[in-house]
Amino acid sequence: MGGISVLRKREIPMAIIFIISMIFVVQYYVKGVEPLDTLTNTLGNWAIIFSALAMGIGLINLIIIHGRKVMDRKGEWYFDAWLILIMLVTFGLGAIGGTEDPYYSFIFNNVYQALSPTLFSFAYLYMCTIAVQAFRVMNWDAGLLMLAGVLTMIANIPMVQVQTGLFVELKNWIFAVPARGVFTAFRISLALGFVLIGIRVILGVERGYLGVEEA
Amino acid sequence: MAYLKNIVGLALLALIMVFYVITYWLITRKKVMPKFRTLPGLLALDEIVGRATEMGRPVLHSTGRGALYSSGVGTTLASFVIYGEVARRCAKMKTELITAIGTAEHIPIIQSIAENAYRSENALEELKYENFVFVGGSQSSSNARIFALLEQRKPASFIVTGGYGADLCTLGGAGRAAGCLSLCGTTNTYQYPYAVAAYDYWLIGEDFLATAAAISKDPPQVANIWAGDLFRFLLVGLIVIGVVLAWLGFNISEYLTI
Repeated sequence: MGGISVLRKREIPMAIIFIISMIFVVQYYVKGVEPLDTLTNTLGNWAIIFSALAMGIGLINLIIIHGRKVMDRKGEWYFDAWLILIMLVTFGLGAIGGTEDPYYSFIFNNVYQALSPTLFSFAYLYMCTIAVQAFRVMNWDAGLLMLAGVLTMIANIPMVQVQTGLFVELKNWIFAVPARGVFTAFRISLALGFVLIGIRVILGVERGYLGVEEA
Repeated sequence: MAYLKNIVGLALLALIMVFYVITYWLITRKKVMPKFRTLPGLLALDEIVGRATEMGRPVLHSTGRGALYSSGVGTTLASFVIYGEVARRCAKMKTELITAIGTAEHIPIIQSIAENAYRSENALEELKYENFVFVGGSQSSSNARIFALLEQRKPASFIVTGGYGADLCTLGGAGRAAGCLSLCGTTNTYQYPYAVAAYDYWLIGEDFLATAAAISKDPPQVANIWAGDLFRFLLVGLIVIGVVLAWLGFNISEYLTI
């Protein structure tokens, strides 16, 4: 089929992924092969540089996607224009004056730092509402969850901690035995999952993330 | 002088690969399709997209703030694969899809996945580029933008997959308050309780990573998951043996590390 650039085909990125991954896998298990160690160190440095370059790619992507909306005057385009303006101003101040620049610091400390915890406070609000929903005892499982939750909350009350160690001991037992046991099982399973998805990616079986044109 | 290190790890990796080869051989040559464990979160995709189609409202999919260059990349890749499937189903059902993108570097990848999905359903003209919304790279900014999308666009369904922190809980609560049917997919162990409590359907831990393979039904993908399941049974057996040996006074952990 014509019309598809060779650079848009899947074989090239898949080949790069396979070769680089295999270098790191072999280096992980074999030690003392000098060219391999140097190569992995160099590739590791490249990865750091690429991740820094990705920030620049991100900046360009944002300008393209939001610039298109501003040009088309679609929806709330003025927010897109505002985003581009603030982004370029902050980037310019940081690039010219560094992070110690007073104007850059003002934006970071007085705008970003103020807005961030304000919005983060929603997390606590929703934690409470979701806890209320989760604690509705509809079956034995929810009952156990409720019991563990209430015991933990009681154990965290300072007065209870001073008066009696019983609830604290119960809480510690819940954390150390059932909770840790379940979490360990989750973690083992998760680690295995990462190994399996790694194998799929290295072997080119998993291709959905590439998203490029089918070759 | 070259020598092997992490011999136990190498042996385990080799064992997984052996399981993989055997299961793949069984599937392709003997036509034995293993029974794959049911993933309710995956089955819910039809309901989630179908609800939006019936109500004539969009699906909102947040693809997360996951890393592309660190160990969390598996989560991000799994999120992309699920997003591709959601986009394909939306294209098939002619349902509007709004995509909340949490990391600027993801934008071209997400757009490319969506284009591919819509093209596969011959519906590329239905893809609305203004529906790719960058929601910022931090929890606070993404929360704020997604709250606004939930309020303004009134999606019928809300899908949250990929890398998240505490905002997983916040988004679940906001989605429920907006009356959305919700699904989340995460590998963040600390967020599992919130995922279960705040969302209608969830894919947590290894299930989330396996979803990509379960969607495709491709023999190499299914074999990969089946090999993992077999390996898991082996691990459980080893853990039981280890517990018994430790109880009898044998410390086997010293033989497992080199």
